[in-house]
Amino acid sequence: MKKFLLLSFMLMFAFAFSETWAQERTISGKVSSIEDGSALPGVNVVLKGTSTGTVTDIDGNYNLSVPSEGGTLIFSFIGLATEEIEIGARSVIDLQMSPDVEQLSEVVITAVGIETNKRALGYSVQNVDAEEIVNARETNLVSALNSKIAGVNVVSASGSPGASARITIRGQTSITGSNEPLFVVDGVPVDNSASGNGVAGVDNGNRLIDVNPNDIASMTVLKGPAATALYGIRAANGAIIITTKRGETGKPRITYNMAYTVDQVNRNYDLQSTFAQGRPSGGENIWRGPETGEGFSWGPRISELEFDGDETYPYDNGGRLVPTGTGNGVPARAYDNLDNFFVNGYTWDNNISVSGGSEKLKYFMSAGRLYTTGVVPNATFARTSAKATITASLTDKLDVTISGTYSNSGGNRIQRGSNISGVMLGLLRTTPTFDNGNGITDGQDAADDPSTYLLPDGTQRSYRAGIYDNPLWTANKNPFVDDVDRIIGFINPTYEILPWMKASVKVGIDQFTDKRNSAFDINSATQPAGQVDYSVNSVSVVNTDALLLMNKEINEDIYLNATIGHNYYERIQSIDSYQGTTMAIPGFYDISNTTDVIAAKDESKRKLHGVFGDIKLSYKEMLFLNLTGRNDWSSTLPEDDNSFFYPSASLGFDVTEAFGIANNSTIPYAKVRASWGQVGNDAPIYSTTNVYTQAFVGGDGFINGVTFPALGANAFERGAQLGNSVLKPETTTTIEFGLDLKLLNGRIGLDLTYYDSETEDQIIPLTISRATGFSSRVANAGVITNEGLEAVLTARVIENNDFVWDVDVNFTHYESVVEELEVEDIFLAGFTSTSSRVRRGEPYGVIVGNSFQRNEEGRFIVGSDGWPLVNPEQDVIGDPNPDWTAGVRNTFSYKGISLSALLDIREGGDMWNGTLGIIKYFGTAQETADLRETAGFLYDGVVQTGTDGDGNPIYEENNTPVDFANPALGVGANRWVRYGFGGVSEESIEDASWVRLREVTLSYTLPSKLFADSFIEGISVSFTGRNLALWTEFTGIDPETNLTGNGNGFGLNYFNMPNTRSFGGTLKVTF
Amino acid sequence: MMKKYYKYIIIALMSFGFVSCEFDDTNVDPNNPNPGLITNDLILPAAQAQAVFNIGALGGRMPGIVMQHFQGFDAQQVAYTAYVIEESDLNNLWQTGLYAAGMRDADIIINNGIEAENNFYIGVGKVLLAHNLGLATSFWGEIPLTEAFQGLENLTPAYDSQESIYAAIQTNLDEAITALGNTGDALTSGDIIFGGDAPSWIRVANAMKARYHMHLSKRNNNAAQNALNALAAGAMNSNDEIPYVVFDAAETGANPYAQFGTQRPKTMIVDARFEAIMTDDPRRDLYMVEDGDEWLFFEDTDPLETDLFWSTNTSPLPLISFTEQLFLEAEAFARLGQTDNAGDTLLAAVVANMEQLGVEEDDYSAYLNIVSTAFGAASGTDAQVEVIINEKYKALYCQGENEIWVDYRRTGYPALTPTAGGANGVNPSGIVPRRFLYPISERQFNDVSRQAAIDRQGGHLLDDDIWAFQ
Repeated sequence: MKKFLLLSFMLMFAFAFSETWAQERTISGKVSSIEDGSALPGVNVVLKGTSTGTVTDIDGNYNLSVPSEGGTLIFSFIGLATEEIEIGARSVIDLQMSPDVEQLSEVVITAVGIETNKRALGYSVQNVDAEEIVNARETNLVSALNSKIAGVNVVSASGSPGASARITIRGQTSITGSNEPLFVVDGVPVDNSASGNGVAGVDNGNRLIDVNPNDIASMTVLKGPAATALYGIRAANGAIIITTKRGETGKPRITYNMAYTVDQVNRNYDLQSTFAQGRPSGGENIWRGPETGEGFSWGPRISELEFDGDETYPYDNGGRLVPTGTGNGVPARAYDNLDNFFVNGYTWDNNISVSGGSEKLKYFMSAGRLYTTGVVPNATFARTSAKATITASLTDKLDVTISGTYSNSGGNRIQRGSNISGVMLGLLRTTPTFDNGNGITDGQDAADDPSTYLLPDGTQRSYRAGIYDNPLWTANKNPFVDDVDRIIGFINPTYEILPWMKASVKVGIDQFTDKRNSAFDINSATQPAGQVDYSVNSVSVVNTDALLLMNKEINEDIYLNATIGHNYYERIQSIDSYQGTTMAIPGFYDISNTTDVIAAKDESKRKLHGVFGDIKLSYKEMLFLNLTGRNDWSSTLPEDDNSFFYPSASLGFDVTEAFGIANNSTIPYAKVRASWGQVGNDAPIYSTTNVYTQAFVGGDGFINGVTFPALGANAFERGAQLGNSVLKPETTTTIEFGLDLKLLNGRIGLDLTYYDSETEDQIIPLTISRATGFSSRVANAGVITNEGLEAVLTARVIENNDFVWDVDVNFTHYESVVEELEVEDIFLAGFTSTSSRVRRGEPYGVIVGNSFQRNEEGRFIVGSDGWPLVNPEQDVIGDPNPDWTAGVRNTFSYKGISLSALLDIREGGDMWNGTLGIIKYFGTAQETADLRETAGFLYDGVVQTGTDGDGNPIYEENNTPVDFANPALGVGANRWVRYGFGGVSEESIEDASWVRLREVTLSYTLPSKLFADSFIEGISVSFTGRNLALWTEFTGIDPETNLTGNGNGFGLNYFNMPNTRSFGGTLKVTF
Repeated sequence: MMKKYYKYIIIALMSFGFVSCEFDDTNVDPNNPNPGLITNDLILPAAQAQAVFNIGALGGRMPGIVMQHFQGFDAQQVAYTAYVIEESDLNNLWQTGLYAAGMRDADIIINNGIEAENNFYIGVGKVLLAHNLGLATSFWGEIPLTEAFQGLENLTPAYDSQESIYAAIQTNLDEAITALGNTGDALTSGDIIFGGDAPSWIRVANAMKARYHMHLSKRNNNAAQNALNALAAGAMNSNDEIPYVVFDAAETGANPYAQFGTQRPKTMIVDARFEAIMTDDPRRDLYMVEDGDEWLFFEDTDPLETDLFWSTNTSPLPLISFTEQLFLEAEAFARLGQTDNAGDTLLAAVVANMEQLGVEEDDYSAYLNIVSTAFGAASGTDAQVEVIINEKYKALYCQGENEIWVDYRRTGYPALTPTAGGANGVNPSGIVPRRFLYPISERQFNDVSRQAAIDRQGGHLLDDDIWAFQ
């Protein structure tokens, strides 16, 4: 029935036009933008002094009947300066219109590529232009959006080359599904998935990293369902519409730019240099060297040790350490392993493009190569891309655009995270008395010299032999190389059926193959026998959109723009992976070099059909109504119930236009808007049925277990997930209100948006009691609400002849709250001790871990031994969501010079600094040097001495002092060891608020008279700094990192790779 | 004018004709087999391997630390040694070792066996279920059983009393023995322990019956006699009849102790107290290795070295050993006042263990005299039990860590001194733990049932005793 209604509704408006009018002579032409040459649809063309008029179509073309002689045409369009042109004897009048500076309006691209004047929208969208993207000098396009859009939150995994970034728009809506927006490049939805970003491994990229930022003309962010409903389910979390550069009519124009930047670690941990490797034994802190496998730095003071001078000692040229007075008199010393290890990374980015064309054929072609090295020796990432987009007008009515982009990306990624081969883990735990560089203090030189990480007998040289890898070993002997080939392309014929009706079919493909080869060489801590992993992940996406687009003036007051369309989407993914252990030849990282190989194949398919319709009605340029509807059929839902419909409606009301006061100088423009919309979402693949899987013997958590086939047999076990054959689609409903104001001749613009959304029937693999024999069941359960406020303020503070000062502010506040959940919580990411979870009644992603017991006054409850007691049950200990964020950009322009600085402010939001807890445990953190000799410390708390008659506890003041690290009591009694590995989670929760100078760009366009007679058209140079300053209370590395990359869990730091600051310059030459 | 438009509208609408709401097999998982393809012979190998993994991985190391065979040297194991064993620390065993793994497999095997009328799989399935139940109830007391393994039918299974769990263990073993005695020409493939030999499984079932009777020595005055009756019905006769799972040389199929040694090296070592009592023991060098230092390791740096009996990649693990069976028998004799039988059986148990480990008679004969003398000097049941349990403590190193913890809790032997500073939020009194906390997943996903079980048992912290051992 829904389908029938939908078709009727489409037919109804398809038949709505049958108007004809008398003809005397016809005048036609094309209206385009003077700024970028793009066609301007919807421009009013009126014969002056009459009611005769029309509007331009999608391609900016118009036809109008006028009297046989004379007359003047008035071209008007919101945001553009109105032009009056005498017709004279002409029959064709083409016009380039320029922006009306007072109106400061813009054309935006909305869902399925429909261009609309921003003024006519009833919902919030925001644009980022090419310059802002390129100037960010980010390898990853996602990171380039950081702090530039209200409502958008971006967190990079780390500063590793080619690392992923997590992006969310308006908080989180989905519990276990993706919370990232849909990315659409030139109308083709592109894959932005990421794989392999767990708590261990390497920082893998998100696939949008394959897109070259230099090819981009603009990006539009569609935030709520009213804006994205036409895209359907994949845009439930918003959509980012990327438009790449196109050719313009004119002679070939060649643009070349090159950029060079240098990256450095921007922040790091503070490590102690006072105490040696070792632990207490027999009441004394004793030195225990690398050969013992000792992990702790709870040894004696370094100042009380000297070398024994034994030159045969393989770990140090000076020999072992012995108490002062018993060796050769050469005092022991601390090494600065942290500063020695990191190097300067650099990025070299070269791009060339050619564009131009005739009326019949326009082209844009580009090639780019980016090569970047990391702050860790041997870390690299490279991207090579080539692109061509050609538009041909085959006939007056038939245009075809074809576009293809090839890219290759990948590099050598570095082991990190909770990983005994991870570089930060090895580095920060390294005891100060062991020199990872073995006398070589330059990171790259040390990495290039095997004597730093290899002992003479060929085994590994590490502070903790065989247990943690020396970071220099990891940089050389644990390679992880990825190599991604990708093609994104489309073919798009458009046919003008009638002046006001156009058909468009776009067939887009996005295919990539991600090959990864990684290894742990023989004698690595992770796999002493050696291990090679090889995998090929192939993804193929086909997306077709068939659209019928209509632009029609119903009468002089009402203008209609309508679209109906059909969408087909198919994604096929196939992952072949091989893991081989026991390498024969050291240093030969090929799967053929291993003895025991486990092969696996993982294939997944999903298909989707959708039909949709969109009607935009405008009345007298002051009231704008937009209705949309879409029906989807998805392969992942139960076969007999896989269809679902979702509508949206929005209304914009131009107050100034309505009261006839538009363009007055105080408030030239004021619009209020309201929208309501729904987006449905389907189920994860294969979640409607139960299966068996190849058996795995586990139940431990510390060890890998046994994977079948093994023990001379193959075996299978029932899958842990209970499928659900009656799943319904999930639905996000959003209501949004907005106000768009221009003040003081348009010099101040304010755009305010409030929204409230609710996602219900969330499809979740609900964890269930394992006593059921299953670990989870897929169900429609859970409601998440999102409420937020966004503000965009633009102000031209100073404008005189040569000097302009602009301020742009983006403000974001949101709250994602888990209102209902059938279970207490759901694990998102992290560890058993501390994790990011979705918990009923709490903000999305709260950090759950152990905490101290406290009485009603919040004071410690202390045990009879004087130490605070830990709660036996884990609890919420932090909320990683910021209270608000803001991006503040100041831009100063003077003649050809422009200086822009972007401040990024984040207020609130916790982060678990798990790294710090661990390095305190091992005794390498500076705090442990400052406080370890603390004796007789009295915790401010209470001791339970009994219970009263009602069973309530009776407390007395604690008066039992404790020693933090008394060697007589052994290492287990130590203040930083006694609470277990990493201590009590609560102690590692820190406020991750920051203020950072995210970008500074100084650019200078050389006066054109300098090369007036040459073939050069223009030259500009710019200098960019990224992340130059960071003010935060967070200890250790930059809190803008995330352990699990772009996954749903966030706010976790466990030996994350550090972030970077960078400086560089760009030269751009146009011929 | 309108006619001209019809053509295009029809063309446009035709494109919707391509809308097909049929997706055929798009949503059928091509990577994993459909349940209809899987038979018991394909499930049994994993069920058997999981059963021994449960007592040799986390379920071996954790009681091994509590029982001072091991001590933490680094990382989490240090905390466990100080009895900081929290509700998340045994979660993996409960979830992916027992309920959604080993016990689930056993339940499926039994049900499939009933459906296929195959008594062999019914019997072996029940033995495996009893083994896993015995481990679980000795760790946690009350656990779900009668309402367990029902999927959607019951998402929050109630916990059964520990008394009824022990009764169910005996019932399962009895039914297993009956089924295994009547296998006919049933299909028996997939048995990686006995290659499908039903009589071997009957002997194991009888030995297990004795074990779980003796678990209740504090609760049931007939425990010892029940155990002897079970053994008399036909248990193992030699080390050749031990239900061993033998692991692979490859790391992906290696023994769990060896895996821990390789993958978490030098985080857990042999406890100094245990090392001290093993100083002159012929088994010492098969249990631990010195690393040029004062500490001893349960694993060798090279996992393929075969010097250590229990911690190389290819080391076996038994569901129950012949030596354990003899210790159970010796204790039962002692409790029934049959001192001579007890003494003889104790010596047989020690011999069985020496031979199990490959110690030559010349090397252990002197040690036998020491044991014999000690038993002879013990007067009264309790003293005799102490000698027996002290010897069992040495013999079941690695192969029965959970059982020696049961022994400690029901007999008080071997006499252990709690870890200094072992009082903390989960073990307020600081004593040697009496149980483990229920895992966090049950608090999160089955809290009403779990809380009811805690209320019935008066708590679930490490120092709250459970019914069987009170």
